[in-house]
Amino acid sequence: MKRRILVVDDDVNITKLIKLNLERTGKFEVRVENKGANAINAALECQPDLILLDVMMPGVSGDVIATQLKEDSRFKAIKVVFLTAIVTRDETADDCNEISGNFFLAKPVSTQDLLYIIDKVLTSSDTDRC
Amino acid sequence: MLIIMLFISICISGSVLADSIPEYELTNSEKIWLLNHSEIVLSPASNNYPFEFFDKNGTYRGMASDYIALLEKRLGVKFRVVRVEDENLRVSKVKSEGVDIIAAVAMDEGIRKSMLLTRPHIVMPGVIVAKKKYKNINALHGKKIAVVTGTQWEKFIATKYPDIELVRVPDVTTGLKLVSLGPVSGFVSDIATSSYYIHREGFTDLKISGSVGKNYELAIAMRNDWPKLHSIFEKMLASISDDEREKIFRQWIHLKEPSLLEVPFYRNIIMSVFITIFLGLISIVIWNLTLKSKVLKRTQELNKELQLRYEAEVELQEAHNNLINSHQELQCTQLKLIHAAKMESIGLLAVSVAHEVKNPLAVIRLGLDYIGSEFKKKSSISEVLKDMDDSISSAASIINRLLDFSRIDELESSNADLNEIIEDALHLVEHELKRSNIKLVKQLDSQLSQTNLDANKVKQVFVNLFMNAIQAMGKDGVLTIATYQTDIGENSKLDKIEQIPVEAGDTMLVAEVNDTGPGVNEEMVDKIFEPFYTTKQVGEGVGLGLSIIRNIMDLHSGAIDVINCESGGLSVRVFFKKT
Repeated sequence: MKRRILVVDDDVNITKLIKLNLERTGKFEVRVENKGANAINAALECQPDLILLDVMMPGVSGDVIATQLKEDSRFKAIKVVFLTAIVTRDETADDCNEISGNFFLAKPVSTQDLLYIIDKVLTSSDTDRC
Repeated sequence: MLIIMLFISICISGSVLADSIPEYELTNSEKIWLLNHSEIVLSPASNNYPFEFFDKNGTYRGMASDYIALLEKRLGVKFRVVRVEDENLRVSKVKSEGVDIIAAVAMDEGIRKSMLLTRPHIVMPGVIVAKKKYKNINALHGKKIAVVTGTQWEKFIATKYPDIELVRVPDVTTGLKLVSLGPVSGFVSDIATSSYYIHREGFTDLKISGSVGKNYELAIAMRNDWPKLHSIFEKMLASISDDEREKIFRQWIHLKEPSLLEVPFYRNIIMSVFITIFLGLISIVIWNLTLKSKVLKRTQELNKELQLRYEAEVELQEAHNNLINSHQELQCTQLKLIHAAKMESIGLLAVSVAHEVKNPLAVIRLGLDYIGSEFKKKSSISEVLKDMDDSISSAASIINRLLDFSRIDELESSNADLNEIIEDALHLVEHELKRSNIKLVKQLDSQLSQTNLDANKVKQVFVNLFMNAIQAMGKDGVLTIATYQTDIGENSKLDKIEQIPVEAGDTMLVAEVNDTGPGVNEEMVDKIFEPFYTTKQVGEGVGLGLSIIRNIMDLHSGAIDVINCESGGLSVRVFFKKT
């Protein structure tokens, strides 16, 4: 069964290429959303297993969306991985790519790193975090 | 010359007198007579200057007085002097036996009848007193001549020289005044009287001008019933030598014109001048003393003022130094503010640049991933894609460094060992050292104290320093790393550190990183810590390394300095205060 991934980023090219690279593996079904304001609706519609969420977006930013998701019980099961340009790769370069309880991926992210973190997050339970 | 001649004639007349009576020993009868007449009364004229007169004290004086004194001395007697003011009464008293002798009487026929007269003992030539020179009285024909009324000169000139107009005056002084003032051409009298008055009254313009050819003769007169005494006096007068006569003459007759000092008028003027000068001198001395006192007072005031000014200057100097210190502090603060502002703007820039650049980089990288998965089997394409990916990494790392730099604003400090941090940093650049064949020399002080540091950030400092050194040296250099601990003080290696306040006794941990590279241009030493300053080639670095180091050192309240070594290469020292 394919895992559902929602990619939220204002950069159309990034969402398009993430979708291409992930779906190419055959493991994921990817939906993209380029407006932060539509992110919650998109999540409701597709009920993703994981959301790749850009932090810095015009309008509603990534951290606001993450807070809304966390506060809404309907999205309890959904994992969130932040995509950000203002975190250096060194800062996220430990095993769990985690800063203060959140998962981060530093841009420019490679497909390899994406697959690694998605796999890691989805296979781990909440209590099993390192 | 005339005066000398007159004097000689006087002496000769005296000598003739002496020679005529060689024997002057008294006979026994004369001696007995003297013994029997123990009191002989002498009555001199009161004011017959200079022959006989009474001075201010009532003492009998004059030429005749001197002769009398000689006689008294030789005879061993003392005459009793009786003063009779009235001249006629005086003479009559001799006649009436009230008075025994008169010391000086003119040889007058009338007197000769009533008294016994000795031969003249005082003989004075008659002279002309004038302003001009007259050889003799004949030269005064037709001119006015003053004479004292009743003297022998009045009769003599009137009789002998009727051509001369006589001007009769009551006394000698009046006569001399007339000559001095000009109404008469001359005054006739004897030489003694004339010279005496000229001298006494101070007629400096008058002189003894010439002779009149007649003498004034004086003799001693006595009662005519005392022939013994007459005989005795004659002998005694004969015994008086020329020297004695001359002595008496010189005492009373001043043949020279009086000097200015002897003239009351001029003497008064000279005295006035002297007194004025003296008073002037005293005034000058007093003024001088006053001035000195004023100068002293003023000098003291000036010294006081000088002292005050000196103190004010010292205060000013202190204030000036304080201002300089404040100014330096301000400059330091200003630099820090500028630095902070720079850091803030760099932070904003970094975030903005990171967002704007990293998104396209992400697109490219994801795109490359996709292309790469399509051409997995074609190795040449895979290689190209790999190179492109490396470039993306390189570009991303520059952005990351910018982000690192902008974020350094707080420390996570703990007690740490500087040597260990250096070893960790060396470990990270080990590969670079090997690749560039750089020899590593470590002189780490094993006794180095631990201090409170953010180990990760300090490690970043050393990694940056080592990388800079490696890049500066290129191939085959020597990297020397030394650590030591020292106290601030005069005799220590360190007495002050430019960037941070330190006090004597503070313990500093120092690390030195020395390379054998080309060093840094002296003018650039101050600038190398500025963000984006770099000497590296394009692509080797953006010039944030040293400014990151500086920032980290500032956060540690530490310092960093850079010195070009004399032997070449650069020496960087970092200082941490032991806490």
